[in-house]
Amino acid sequence: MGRGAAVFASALLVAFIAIPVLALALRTDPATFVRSVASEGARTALLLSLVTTTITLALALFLGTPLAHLLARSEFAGKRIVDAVVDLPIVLPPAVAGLALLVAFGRRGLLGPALAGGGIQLSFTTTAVVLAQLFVAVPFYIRAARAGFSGVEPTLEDASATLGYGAFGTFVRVTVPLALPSLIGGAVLTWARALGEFGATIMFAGNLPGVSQTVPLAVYLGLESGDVEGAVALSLVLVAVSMIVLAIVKSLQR
Amino acid sequence: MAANAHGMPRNLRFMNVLAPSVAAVFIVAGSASAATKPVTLTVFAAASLREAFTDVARELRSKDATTVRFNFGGSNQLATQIVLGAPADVFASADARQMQIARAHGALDGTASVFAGNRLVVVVPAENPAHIRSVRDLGRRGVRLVLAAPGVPVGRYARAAFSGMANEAAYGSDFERRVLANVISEETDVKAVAAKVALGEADAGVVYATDVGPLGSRVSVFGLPGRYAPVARYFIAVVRATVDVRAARGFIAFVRGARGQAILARHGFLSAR
Repeated sequence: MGRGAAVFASALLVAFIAIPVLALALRTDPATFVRSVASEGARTALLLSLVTTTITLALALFLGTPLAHLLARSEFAGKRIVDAVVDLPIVLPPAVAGLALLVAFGRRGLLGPALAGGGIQLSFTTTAVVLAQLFVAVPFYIRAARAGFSGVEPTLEDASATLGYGAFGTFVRVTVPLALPSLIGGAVLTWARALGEFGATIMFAGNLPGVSQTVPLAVYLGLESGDVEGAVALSLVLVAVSMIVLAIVKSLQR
Repeated sequence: MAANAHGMPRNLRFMNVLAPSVAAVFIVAGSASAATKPVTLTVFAAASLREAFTDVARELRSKDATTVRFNFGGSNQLATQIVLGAPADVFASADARQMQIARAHGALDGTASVFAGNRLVVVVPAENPAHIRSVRDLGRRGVRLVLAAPGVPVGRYARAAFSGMANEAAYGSDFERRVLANVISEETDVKAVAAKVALGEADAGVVYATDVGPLGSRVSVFGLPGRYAPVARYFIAVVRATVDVRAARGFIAFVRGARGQAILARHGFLSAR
């Protein structure tokens, strides 16, 4: 392929991605944007998204960090299976994830009766929103954290041990600081994926303002009810957040 | 593209059809009956019309080689898509409001006409986990109720019914508030409401009488008190972006004619008149 053709193809593709995002920005004006984002429905959705993604991120860090370290440092029977299971949500269509969660944790799901016996109702709650987000987003953190931990020289951890730190002390004072850029990068990606979650959420958690209507659901429902301005405004908020996320990840890779 | 094609000779229009899926439909329709000129119509129809309109399409295909493709969904969703330029030939809405929205944006060709009616009912899962014995029980604390979103016609009709019932001493003035406090999800169309009840995820949902048949024995049904249950009125119109205004009018004429009305009646729809 000649250089001219390559440049043309590249320009076409970049424009194809940039134009729709630009079109969103051109579709609104500052006054409409502020009014739409400040509306009660939008604020409720933004707050719910902020709360649920924060909890999701906390769970991902708390549960994902030990798993990532295990995968990076240990050999054990069935490791390849664990590996594949953990990666699965990345390639699984979100609607499939939502249906899977529903038939597992729903009222008539595999574990539904057992949960109901303990007085626990998961589907169509805010908890379901968090579970849907965790399901689809935690693999991004585990992958990044695992790569980060793998990149830490084992000799440094050994040295720390000889200097008197226990396994946990070594992990906290040596391994985590050295892997920190990967951990932060993974955390940011996981949070962004959780923020964008739509398919699994609407299937497993339903759609109710203040309970399960996160920003992506509000965009969809807003457009459905003819509120194009509101949908565009919330979309622009997500675009801005996505750009910030990208900037953070890029700066960490440098 | 669709608008330009209007009025062109049929072979030229065929050349204009670039989308492979559309071309495929033409080829299928063409091979089915080489003698009649194949026509493909795209009908955007309220989700509640799914079963009835599928039967209408089957009959039209065998009758005069008209292939009908459907986009079923909440009427509000369809109206938005049409307003944003979706290539539809016909719009069938479950209420006047969404048809009016399409009209106000200049998206319709000619006027809309009423072609069917429908009644609201409450459905509960067959095993009735919340022990609902009447509509009044929907206001009981802890009942997991699913409605369509307020913009969806069936969601709007349902809320109007609960609002009306709140004026009745038998239900109590806080009936509407108590019922709406029980809503666990606002679904995008009536079939999504029906599915949540059939799955047993909801204790109750408000759907149309015509949605009950496809659910079979998975649900039990309660009628809403007649004087508060609004009768849904279905409107149909040609969309201005149509590629074939004659075929679009033909589809509407069929739906409003004796055969179409008989199919709708068989699926439980009320007569337009």
